[in-house]
Parts: sequence; structure tokens; C-alpha cells
Amino acid sequence: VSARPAARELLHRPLVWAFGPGDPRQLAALRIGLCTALALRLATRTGDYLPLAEQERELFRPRSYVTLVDQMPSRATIAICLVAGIVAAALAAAGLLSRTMLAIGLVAALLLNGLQTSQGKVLHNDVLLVLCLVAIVFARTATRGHWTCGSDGGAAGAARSPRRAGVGPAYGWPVRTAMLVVALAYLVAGLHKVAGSGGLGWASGDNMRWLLYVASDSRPEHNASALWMPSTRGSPTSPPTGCSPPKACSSWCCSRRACAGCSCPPW
Amino acid sequence: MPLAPWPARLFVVAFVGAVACGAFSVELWPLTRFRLFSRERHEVATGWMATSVDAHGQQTRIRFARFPRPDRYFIAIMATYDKLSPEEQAATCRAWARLVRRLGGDTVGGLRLCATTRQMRSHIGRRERVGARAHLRWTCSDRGGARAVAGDTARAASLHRR
Repeated sequence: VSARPAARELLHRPLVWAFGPGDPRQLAALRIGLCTALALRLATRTGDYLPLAEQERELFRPRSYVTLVDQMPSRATIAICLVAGIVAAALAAAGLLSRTMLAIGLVAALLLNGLQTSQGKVLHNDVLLVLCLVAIVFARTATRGHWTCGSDGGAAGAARSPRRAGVGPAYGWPVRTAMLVVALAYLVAGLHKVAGSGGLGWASGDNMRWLLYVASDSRPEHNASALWMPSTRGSPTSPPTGCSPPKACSSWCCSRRACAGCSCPPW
Repeated sequence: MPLAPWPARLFVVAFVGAVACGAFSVELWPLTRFRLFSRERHEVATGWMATSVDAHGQQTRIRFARFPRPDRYFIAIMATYDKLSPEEQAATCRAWARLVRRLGGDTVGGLRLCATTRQMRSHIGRRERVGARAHLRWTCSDRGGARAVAGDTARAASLHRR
């Protein structure tokens, strides 16, 4: 008899969590953090974006919405996009016309990162940042009187008058949607690893050893840390028990063969 | 307790649903599949390499790391090279040849695209780069386009390196 209310409660609880009221200051904090991160990402990686214009046309491998164009845009277009994105993200972080600026910054990020992932390899560096920005782009401006430049109150005003913070249902869902998307991304990445190795082989086998060996070989100089991977199956490179690799590998110690109770790399 | 208005709920369901569906279907960046190092590596590492052939038939390994940054994704492009049309394959090859020439290389004899296998177990106990066995898969030239090859095998380690 009591099963039905219990089931309803079970269904209702996630709904309340996802769509229930939230603190506008939390949303403002998320907006400030994400927009600051976007502005910094764009500003510090101009060297990655601007050379895209020089890509050989035949090597252009557009993905998703980038298939609408048949080659990389000009350097000037990319530069304008970069400037617009950086300025808009900075203004959105400061809370000036935050909704409009956030939308402009998001479009710039989508365009630039979409172009970057059209070089032939899917790049995931900025995916979570972009997805979280999508989650909050339609949200109501979090705090007209809180945590925005040029407002009458600012953070101090919010602190003085907690009622103005106005906890409400309009401010909760963007934050929780961003949380859901991040959690989902990590879950899916983990599931692909389990599925890709038919179980826990990805973590429990020698997968990381082979991965690091290949990574080391692809560099001009070998990567000593990558080459000294203890085997999970007791191969000759396994370090002796009780000896942690960083402690064991001082070059002074190894070059003089003066290691007592620890091990050197195999060369 | 008041809940978010229905347009917001609709957006959340659609957006989270799209992210979830994207994770198990085609790549529609930024709705990606999140396949990050998801394939388990084994002791035999497979890959690709390319060589340019000069007028004397001498092969030189192409160092894609020396190319401009947007043109370095050789291995990623080779993963789907066989799915390209012959015209696209030839055009891709011409672009690589052009980049090789721009860096002072000679491509009179065309390019050779080889699948490689490396026994990574031989790294255990030694730091030297593991030599790859190269299996010629494609040849291409500015005039002749790209042609698939079967069977020919050559030691990549014996190739002349610049």
C-alpha cells in the first residue's frame, strides 16, 4: 500500500534535485569561473588557433557543424573570433551584459574549438568547458545586484542583504545541469575504457606500460619516466619491494652504482 | 517546492539527453563520444609512417612533427584514409608531398604510406627506440594519384633518416 508513495518519492527526488530552487550567487560563481576560464583559454592559446588558417586545404577534416565550410577560414577571421571571444568572456565574467556576452563568447569558443578539432583528430581539451557554458547560457542573469561590476550592490551588497539573493527555481537548474554533464562525461569516458578492454584490462593489465613506451618513442628524446614502468606481471623491470621509483632513480646514485636497497632504471 | 519552469526542464532533458546519446553514437563535436585512450594497448603497437622517395629511389622517413601544427595529424588521417575517395586520397597525398618539398625534401618518386608494427616488449630493459616493421599499404605521387599495395614489407629501421 505504501509502495506507491515511496516510488513517487523516489522519482520526485531527482526532479527536485535537478529543477529545485538554487542560490543565484552559486550560478554567478559558476558563470564567473567558466567565463574566466574561457577568456584565459582563448587568450593563452592564440598560437594554436591562428596557425589553423595556414592548414593545407586537402588536410581539412571538418566535423560536426564545421562541415558547413570547406576549408579553414582566413587568419583575420580567426583573429576577430579570438578577440570577440576573449572580450565577451571577460565581460561576461565581470557581469556586464552577461547573458549576451556569454552567448558571444560561447559562439566564438564553438567556432574556434570546432575548427581545431577539424585538423584530423577529435580534441577533448575544451569540450567540458563548452558544454558547461551551453548549460548556463540560457539561464537567467544570476544576480543583477550581486557579484557584477557596475551594480549598485556588488558582493558587499549581497552580504548586507541576504534576502536580495533571492533563492529561486530559475537559478538551480543551470548549475545542476553543468554538474550532470561533467559527471556524465567522466562516466562515459570510464565506460569506454571498460568496454574497450573487455573488462578491467585497461587498468589491471600492462596497458599503461605499452602506452607510455609508445609515447616515449614518439618523442625526439626518450622519456625516462615512461620507460621505467613496473610491470603488473613481474617482468625484470619490476622495482624491488619497498622501493618507490622516485627515490630509486636519482642519477647520482645510479651513475655511481651506489644504490643501497633501491633500484635504477634498466640502462 | 517550486520547480523550474517547463521550458527550462525541456532544455535540460534535451541537452543532457543529447550529451548522453552523443557519447554512444557519431562524433558531433562538442557532443563527443569521450573516447579518451579507451582502446587497450598491447605489446604489439600498430601505427603508420610515411616516406618520400627521391629520384634515386632512396626513401626518407617523413617527420610530420616538422610540419606546421595543423598539418601534423598524419596518423589520425590515416585511420580513415581507406574510406576516402581516390580523388581525396590523391589530394591528401599531394598536400603531404607539397609540405615535404617546402621543407627541402625530394618527392620525385612519390610517397609511400606504410602500416607499422612494433614489438614494445623489446623496450623492457633498454631505452633505445624500438624499430618498426613497415608494411607498404599505399603509394602515391603527384601524377599517378594514390594506389593501394598489398604484401610488400620493409624494415623501417633500414630507412635513411635525416
